[in-house]
Amino acid sequence: MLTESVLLPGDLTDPSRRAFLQMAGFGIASAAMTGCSRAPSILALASPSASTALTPGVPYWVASACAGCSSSCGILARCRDGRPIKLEGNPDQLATGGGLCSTGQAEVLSLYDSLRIQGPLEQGESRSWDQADAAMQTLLNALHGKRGNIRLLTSTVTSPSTRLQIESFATQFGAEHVEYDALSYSAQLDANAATHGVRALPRVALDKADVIASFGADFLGTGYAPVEHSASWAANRRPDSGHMSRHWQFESILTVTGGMADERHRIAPLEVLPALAGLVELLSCYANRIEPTAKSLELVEGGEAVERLAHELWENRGKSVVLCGGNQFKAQLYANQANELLGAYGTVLDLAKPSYQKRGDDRAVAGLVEELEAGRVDLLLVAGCNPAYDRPDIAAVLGGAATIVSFGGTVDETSKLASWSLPEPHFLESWGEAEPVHGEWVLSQPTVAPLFNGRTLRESLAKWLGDERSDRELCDDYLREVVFPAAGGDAKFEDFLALARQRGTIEAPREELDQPTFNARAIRQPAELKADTSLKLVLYPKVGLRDGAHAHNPWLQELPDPVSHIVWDNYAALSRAHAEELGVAEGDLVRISCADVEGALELPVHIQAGQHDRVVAVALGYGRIGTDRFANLAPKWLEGNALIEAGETIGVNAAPWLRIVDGRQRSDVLDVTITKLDGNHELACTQDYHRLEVPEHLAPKGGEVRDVLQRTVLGAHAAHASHVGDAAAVNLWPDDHKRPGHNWAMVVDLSVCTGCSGCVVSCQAENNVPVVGRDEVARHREMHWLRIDRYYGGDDDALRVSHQPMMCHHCDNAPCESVCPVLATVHSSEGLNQQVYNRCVGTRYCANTCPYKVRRFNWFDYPRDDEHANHALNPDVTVRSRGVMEKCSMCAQRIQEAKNAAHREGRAIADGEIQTACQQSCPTKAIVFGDLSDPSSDVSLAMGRPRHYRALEELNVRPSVGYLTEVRNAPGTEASHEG
Amino acid sequence: MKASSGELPLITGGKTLSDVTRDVCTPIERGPTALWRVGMLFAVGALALGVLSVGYQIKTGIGTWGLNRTVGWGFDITNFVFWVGIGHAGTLISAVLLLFRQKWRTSINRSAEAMTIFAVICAAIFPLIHMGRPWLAYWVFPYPNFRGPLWVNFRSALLWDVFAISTYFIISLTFWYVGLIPDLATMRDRANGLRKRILGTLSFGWRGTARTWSRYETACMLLAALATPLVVSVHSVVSSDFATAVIPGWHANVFPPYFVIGAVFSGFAMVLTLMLVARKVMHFEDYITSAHLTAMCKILVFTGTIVGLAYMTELFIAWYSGSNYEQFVFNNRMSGPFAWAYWTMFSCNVISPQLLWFRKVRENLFVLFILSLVINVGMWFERFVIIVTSIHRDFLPSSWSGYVPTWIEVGALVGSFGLFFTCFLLFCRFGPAIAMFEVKSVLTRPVRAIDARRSASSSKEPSASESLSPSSSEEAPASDRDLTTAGAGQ
Repeated sequence: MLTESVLLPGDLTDPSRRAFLQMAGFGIASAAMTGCSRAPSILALASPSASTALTPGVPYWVASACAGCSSSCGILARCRDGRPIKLEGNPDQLATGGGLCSTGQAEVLSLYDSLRIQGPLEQGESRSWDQADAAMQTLLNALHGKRGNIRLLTSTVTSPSTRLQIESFATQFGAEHVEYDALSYSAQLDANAATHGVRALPRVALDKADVIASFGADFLGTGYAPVEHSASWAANRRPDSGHMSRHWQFESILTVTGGMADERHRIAPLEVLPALAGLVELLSCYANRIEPTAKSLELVEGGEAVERLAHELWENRGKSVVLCGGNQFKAQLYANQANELLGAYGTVLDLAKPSYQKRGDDRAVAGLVEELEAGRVDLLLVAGCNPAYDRPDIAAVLGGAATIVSFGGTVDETSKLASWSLPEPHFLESWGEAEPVHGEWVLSQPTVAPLFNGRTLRESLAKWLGDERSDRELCDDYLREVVFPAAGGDAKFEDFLALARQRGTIEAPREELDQPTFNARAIRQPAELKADTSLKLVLYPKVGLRDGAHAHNPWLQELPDPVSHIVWDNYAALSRAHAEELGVAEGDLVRISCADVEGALELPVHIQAGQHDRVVAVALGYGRIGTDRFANLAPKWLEGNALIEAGETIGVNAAPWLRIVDGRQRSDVLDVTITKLDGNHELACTQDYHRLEVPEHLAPKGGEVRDVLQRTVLGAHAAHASHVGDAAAVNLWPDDHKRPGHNWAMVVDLSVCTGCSGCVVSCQAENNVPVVGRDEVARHREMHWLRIDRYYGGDDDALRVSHQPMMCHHCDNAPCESVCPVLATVHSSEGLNQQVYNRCVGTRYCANTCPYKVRRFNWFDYPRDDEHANHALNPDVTVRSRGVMEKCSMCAQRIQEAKNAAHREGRAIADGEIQTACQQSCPTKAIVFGDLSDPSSDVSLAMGRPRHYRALEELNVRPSVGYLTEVRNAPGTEASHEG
Repeated sequence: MKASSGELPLITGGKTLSDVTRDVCTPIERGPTALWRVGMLFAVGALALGVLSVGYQIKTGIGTWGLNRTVGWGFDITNFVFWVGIGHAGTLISAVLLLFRQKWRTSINRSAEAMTIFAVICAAIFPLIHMGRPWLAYWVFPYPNFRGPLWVNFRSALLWDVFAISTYFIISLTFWYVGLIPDLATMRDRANGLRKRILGTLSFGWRGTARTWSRYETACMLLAALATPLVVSVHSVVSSDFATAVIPGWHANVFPPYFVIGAVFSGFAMVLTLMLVARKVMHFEDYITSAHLTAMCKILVFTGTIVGLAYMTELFIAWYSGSNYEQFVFNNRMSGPFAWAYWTMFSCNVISPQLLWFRKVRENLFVLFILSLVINVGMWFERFVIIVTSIHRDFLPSSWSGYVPTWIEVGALVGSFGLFFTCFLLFCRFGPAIAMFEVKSVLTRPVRAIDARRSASSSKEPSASESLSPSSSEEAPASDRDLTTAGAGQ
C-alpha cells in the first residue's frame, strides 16, 4: 500500500499531471521553493486512504510524530492537495492509543505561522545556506584549531539520529552538549540515577495501579507524557465493573490532575518533603511490622491524610504508586523509596523500559553558566530551546558567549541575541524519528513541501562534519543501523522502512535493560525537614502554552485554561481566604516582590478555588516577545478594546522568578510579598459562575443544586446500578421522529473527562472555528463549538472538580428549530440538528432558546487576513460570515465522507468508522459517537449503562448527547452532588 | 370605563363649531412656533443619532451591541415590544372606545391613532435591524420563490410577529387615514392654490353630503370592528415570542393577557404624555380638558392594577409550579444582579399608578406628566426584565452571563424616540391633531336650531345625540365651509 510521490519541482522525474496539480494546489510552497534545493520529500502515506493520495481534493493521511513537546506522540496528518489540515493521534501507537493533546492539535497552525524565519539570517540579514555553511565552517575550523570552547545547548533531544550527529560533532570539534528542559525534570532524573543507576524517567503504567498518590505531579495535564498517562489513568477509572483506582493528590495549586482526584489535599510547597518523608517512615514501619509512627508528619498540616494514604498504599502494595512533581531532589528520593517499599518498580513503574522524554540536566547547565560567566564559551549553538526567555540563569550570562548561533524556527528571545539564525523546519515538513520510550520509535515524515528554507540541526551538523548525506538519509541510516536489526525480522530493510513509515511507529523487542535494583544507600542522609509558613510563589505551566514555546499560537492563547477558564493572560492566582485577607477582588492588580529578585511582577488577581492559602501561583509561558503580533486579531469597533498594543506582550514573563536551588531549577521556593495596586485588568474568562449550587440567596427550596452534571461515589453507584430502569420516560406525544437509517448519538463519560481540552482545539481545527481575542471572550462571545463546563464542588479543603464537555445536543425536539423564522436550522432524518449558514438571517432566537447555550453567533467578520494561517482551514467546512449562527455539527463532513466511502464500496458503515474530531482527540476515550440504530454499537451500549443520563432530560427536548455519571472512588454510599 | 362625561364638560371655553375649526386649523396654517422648532430640533437630533448608531451597527456587525452568547436579545427586542405596546392605546381609543361609544375619546383619538402608526413604525425597525444580516430581512416574508421547500417557518413565533405587526400596521393606517378624510376636507376648504389641490387629493374630494356621511360612519364602524381584535391579537402574538420558548421566565401561559393589558397601560401613559405636551404646545387646553385627563387616569389605575396582578400571578405560578428553574428565575429577578431593574419596574408600574386614586394627583398636571413618564419607564423595564433576566441565567450555571448595553444600543433607543417624536411633531404641524368633526359632535354649548339637512342623518348614530341635551340644536355653521364637516350624524 505504499505510495511514493515526488513533491518537489527540482526532482520531478515524472512531471505527471497529478504531480503538477498537487504542486499547484499549494501556492506558497511553490513560491518558497524556488531557491530551495532540499532533498526530495518522498512520502509514505499512512494506510487508510493511500490509494486516493494523488487525487486533487481528496484527503489522505500521513503518519508522523508530533514535536510540539518532547512527549513525541505519534500522529496522523490529514492532508489535502499536498498540505496538512488536521492532526490526529496515531491509534497504532500503543502508548497513546490515538489521543492527542491541545498543543499537538494546534501544531498544524504553527506550521503555517507566517512569522517563521524563512531562511538563514546573519544579524537579521538574509543569507543562503552556502554562505551560512561557509561562515560556520570557517568559524568551527578556527575554533577547532585553537581548541576553542564550543557548546551545544538544546532541550531534550528525542531523536536518536540527531543525538548521533551531536555526538559526532562533539567528538570532532571537542564540543559539549548540554540539555535542559524549560519545565525541568532534572531532580527526578538525578534521583533515579542515584537510586537505580538509570538517568531516565520511568514508564508509568497507571492502569496497573489501584492506588495512585501524587504529590504535586500534574501527570494528566502538563506532565512529561500527558496523553499516555491520561490514557493509562483512565483505563482504571471506569466504574462500570464496580472497580476503579483510587487517586490521591496533595498539591499547593489546583491542577488538572488534582481536580480529578478522589481525595485531594492542599499542601504548602515545602510540606511536600516532610509529607513524603513521613510517608516513607510509615511505609517502613508497615514493612518492618512495627507500630507506624511518623514524626515528620507533625510538620505537615493535615498529616492525618498522609497516614490514611500510607495505610491504603500499603494495603495495595504491588498495585500502588507514588508520583512526585516539582524539581526537588530529596523529595524525589523519598518518592523512589516509597515506591520501592510499595513494590511499584516492575509493576506500575518500569525503569527497564524507561522513558526518554525528558533528559535535561540542570547541573550540566550550571557548568555552562559558570563557563559563560567566565567568558570561556567561544561558540554557543542553541537548538530547540529558548534560554534567553525561559532559563533565567543562562539568560543572565548569555552575553558571555562570543558567538551565538540559534536554530530556532521562529524569532524568539534567544535568536535575537544570535549572530546567526539557522532555522530548523517545522516537524511537519521534515524527516525524523524519536524514541520517546526505550524500544518504541515514532517516525516523522514531511506532510508538505517545505514552506520556508529551513534545515534540521541534524543535517546542519552533518554538513559541517563533511557528511553530505541528506536529512532523510541520516534518518534512514539510523533506522537501518540501529532499529532494523532489532525490529526488522526477516524483511528487507526497504520494505521494513516503508511499512514503518506507513504505520508511523515501530515497537522493537529491543533488548530490555535489566530492571535496575534499588540502591538504598542513595538515601544516606535524611533531608533537613522544617515547617514553613511563608508565602511562596509557585510558577506552573498551563495546558496548551506550557513553557511558552507555543505562545505564538492563537488557538492555544484562546484555549480556556482547564483550571481557571481564563484566556489570553496569566495572572496571580490566590486562594479566596488569602484574597479576602489582602482585600483584593478578581482582576485587581497586585505587585509580587521578593527581596532576592530585582523588579516585581505586576499582575491581575485571579481567585482560584482549591489553592493553598500561602501560595501565589503564576503561569509560565507568557510575556513572549512578538506576541503583539495579535494586535490586529480582534474585531475593531468603537467600544472594542485592543487585544494588545504594539510592543506589549501577552501576559507577563514569570520565568525570571525561577530559582536555582542545589543546582536545580525550582519553581516553588521564592518567599514573596504581595501588595495591592490601584487599578484593575479584566481577565477574560469563559465561565462566570463555577458551581452547580445556585447562589444561596437565590436558591429555591429543593433547587439548590442543578443536576445537569450528575456525580456520585463508587459505593452509591454500585447501589444505584442494581435497580436501573425504574424511571422509564413517559412521552405524551406520538413518536413521530422516524429514523429510517442512521441515528447519530454521542455519549460522554464524565468519570474520565479530565478537562484537558484536546477536544476543544481539535474541534476548532476541524471546523474552522475563528479566534476572536480577549475582548470578545471577556464579552462572552467565544466561538468554540465544544466547550468544557467546569464545576467546583466542596470547599477549598476538599475541592472536587467536574468537567462536562458541552456541544450541540442535537435534540429530537429541538427548541431552536421551531423558533427560526426562516428554517435555517432543521433536523435531519439521521437525528442531526443542522445549521444552514446560507439561510440564516441571524435573529439569535435559536441561541436564546437553546437550553444548553451551545449556539455561537458571528458578531463580527472575524479577521482571516493571514494567508498562511488560512491554509490550515478545513476545505470541507464552510467559513462562516458575520451575522450567522453556528454550532457543533457532530462533524457532519466526517459522517458524509464515511457514508460516501461506504456507499461506493457497497457496504454498511462499521461502528467506530466515523470518529468526530473531539472523540478522536480524547486521550481517555471519554467520548463515544455512533449509530443508535445499531443496537450493538458502542454508543448504544453506553446509553444502556446504568450510569447514563441526559442533561436537562426533564425538558423533554430529547437530546442525542448523553452523559455517563461522574463517579469518584470516595467513601460513602449516598449519591451526592457535592462529592 | 364609564368615564367622565357626566361630571365635567368635555370641551370648555364655550367653543362654537367655527371656533373648533379655527382653533385646530390656525396653528397648521400659521406656521411653526418657536416651541415646535425647539421640539423638532431635539427630535431630529435624536433621530440622527439613531441613524448613525444603526448605520454603524449594520456596517460593522451586531457585535457593536452588548449582547453575548447567553443574552442574544437585549435592548433590541425590549424596544420592539415597548413600541408595539405603545401603539395599543391608539387602537384601543379609536376602535374599542368608538364601539363602546365613549364620547371623551373624540379629542384624543386622532393623536392616539397617529401615535399608534408611529409607534408601530418604531417597533418594526427593531426586528429588522436586530438581524445579523438585515439585508436578507425579506426572507421572513412568505413570498413565492424558487427555493423549493425552503420557505418561512410557520411554527416560529417570530413569523407570527411578522404577520401580526404588518396586519396591525395596515389596519391602523387605514383606520387613521379614513378618520382624517373629513378634517382634511375642512382644511382644504380653508386653503388656496397648491395646498388646496394637495389636500383635495388627500381628502378624496370629500363633499360632506348626507350620503357620504352615512357611508363614512358605516365604514368607520366596520374598520373599528376589524381593528378591535387586533388590540388583543397583536400583543398576544408578540408575547408568544417568549411564551412558546422553553426558557424559564419566558415559558408562561399568562403572557398573552399580561402583555395586552401591559400594552394598554403603557399606551395610555404615552397618550397622556403626548396630550399634556400637545395641549400646552398647541394651546388645546379647551379641547383636552380635565375630563379627558381624569378618564385616562382612571384607565391607568385600572390597567396598572391588572399589571400588578399579572406580576403577582407570575410569582404565584412560579412558586406553585414546583419547578426549580422557574422559581430560581423569579428569585433571581427580585434579588439577582438585575434586581434594580425588577424593582424599578415594580415601583413604576404597580405602585406609582396607585397615586392616581387621589384627586389632587390627578389634577396636578405636572405630577401627572411625571407619572406618565414614570409609567413608560416602568413598562420599558418590564420588557427588559422579562427578556434579559430570564436568559442571562438559565439552565446551565456555566453559561450564566451578564449584559451591559453599548452606546450604540442606547443610540438606537434614543433614535427610535427621535423618529417617533419627529413623526409626531410633523403630524401636529401638517395635520389636524384633533379630530374636528368628532369634537364638534360633543360640544355642549346650547346652539341655535339646526337647518333641515341635519335631521335626515341624525338617526344614523342615535347615541351620539344622547350626550347633547335633548333640547339642544346646533348652532348654524359659522361659514359654509363648516357645513362640509360639521354635521353629519349629529
